[in-house]
Amino acid sequence: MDKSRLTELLQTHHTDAFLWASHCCHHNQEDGQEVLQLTYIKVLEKKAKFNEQSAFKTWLFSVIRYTAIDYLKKKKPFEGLENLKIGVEDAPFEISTINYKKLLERLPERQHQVLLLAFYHEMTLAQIAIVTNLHIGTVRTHYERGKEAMRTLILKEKV
Amino acid sequence: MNTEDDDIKAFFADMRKEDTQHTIPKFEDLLPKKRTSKIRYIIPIGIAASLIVGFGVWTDTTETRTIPDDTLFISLEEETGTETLLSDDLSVFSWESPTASLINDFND
Repeated sequence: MDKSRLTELLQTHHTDAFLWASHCCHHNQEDGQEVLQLTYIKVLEKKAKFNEQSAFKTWLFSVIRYTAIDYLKKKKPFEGLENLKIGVEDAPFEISTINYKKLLERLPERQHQVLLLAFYHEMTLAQIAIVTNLHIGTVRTHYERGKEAMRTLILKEKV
Repeated sequence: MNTEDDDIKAFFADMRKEDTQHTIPKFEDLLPKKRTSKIRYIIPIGIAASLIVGFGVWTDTTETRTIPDDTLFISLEEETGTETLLSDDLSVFSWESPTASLINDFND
């Protein structure tokens, strides 16, 4: 696939890609922007090659996820102590607005990602399996358990 | 995804609505910048500079040097090792044995 076509496809999925990159960086938009830029470099310099075995968006999300993992690993040693999370946060949410990020962060990492991809990014379980590099059966398990946990959290939030 | 999931769907729909209110960076701003723009100018400048330096060095070595009028030349001529022996030829031919008179006397 030539560079101009790749640029065109990247531009089409830019908003979704940016939001997914931010989600992969614990909902941090600055880090998401860095990760997305690194992803674009990878794609346009053909370090990550699209072999057209899946939809472009599915493949792009997979590249973003791997780039975010590498980025966060590199960034971690330089993170300040004030950002370090110790223990489970049990502080009550504000009544007026739901803190989506904090609510989702309470879910285990896999369930969190599977639910985001399924409901937020409207992907099928098969597509999620490609993005997360998990077996479809495992994805289904995370999906079901995630939904249950999510329902409990939403109910708690409403009460 | 069935109707049981409506609460979850609503949650994520609200979340998406909130997220899209945030500023999303422009696509063009995240594209890699063309790095070759500087190199395009640096390479010819480098070649030109090295040619100038090379030409300068070459002309410096081939330049004919003018000698000032009041220069004193001292030339040292090296003699070959056997020249002194040749100049002493005469002394060798005029040599007389210190006992030659005795031989003469004996004959007389």
